[in-house]
Amino acid sequence: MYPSLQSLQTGKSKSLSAYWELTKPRIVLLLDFTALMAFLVAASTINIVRLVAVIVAGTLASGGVGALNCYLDRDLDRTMGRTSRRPIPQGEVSPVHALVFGLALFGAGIVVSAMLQIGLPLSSYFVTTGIHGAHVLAGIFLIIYLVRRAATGGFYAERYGTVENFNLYWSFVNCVWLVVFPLFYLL
Amino acid sequence: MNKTTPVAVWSYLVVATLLEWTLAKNFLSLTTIYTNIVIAVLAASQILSVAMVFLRLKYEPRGIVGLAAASLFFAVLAVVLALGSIGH
Repeated sequence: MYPSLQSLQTGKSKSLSAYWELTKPRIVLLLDFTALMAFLVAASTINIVRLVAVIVAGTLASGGVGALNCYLDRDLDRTMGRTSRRPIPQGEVSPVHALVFGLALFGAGIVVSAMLQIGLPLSSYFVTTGIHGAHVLAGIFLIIYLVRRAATGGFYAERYGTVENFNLYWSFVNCVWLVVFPLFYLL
Repeated sequence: MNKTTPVAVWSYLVVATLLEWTLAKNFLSLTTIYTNIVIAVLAASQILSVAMVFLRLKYEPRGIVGLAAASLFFAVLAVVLALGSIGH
């Protein structure tokens, strides 16, 4: 018996809400408010891009730390009435998923903060080439997978859709490089 | 697709990249815009050749090709405007 679409949708929104709760959003909101006030007091002129970057970095980092806190306190949380309703004691999110989620959010916050330090022109360079590099790396892993699968007879005249899809992906990455190379390295 | 076509496109990409690099190294100057235009046109022709052959746009209906061209135009416009705004 397959689960109904409605139950799947309910499960999905429940899961999203559990991850949202992991970040301790009310604490994040208070920290963002504090960061906003500090920014307004410290800055001589208001740069909207930098302000948004500060809020995004603060939200990501403090949300990630909230999730890590839920992971570290998972055993204690089960023993107290208020904290036993948190997503990990309730079984809505597994401890490993909470740990990965927390580390990922925290890491993203650190990356955005680092961009603020090095300035926007340089950070746009690193973000563009970094994302492109990540796609190239993913493509190399996919090529290895495709070669291994082809070597074991995984593709033949009637079944080559994966290779064709990879060709579209790789050619698009190629097109992006043809823009990035002259833009950042020649002009 | 003719088997020689991908090789021809790949060869063109190599030659055009070398040409772009030579132009940038020897003739690029902030006071003249012509070298920039030539490099931009070469890059656009490279993208066009990859899109037509490897992304199979050559075999798609004209409407799809027009849609892709319009998307590319707006994407380049967005990148140029974004770079211009954060550069100042």
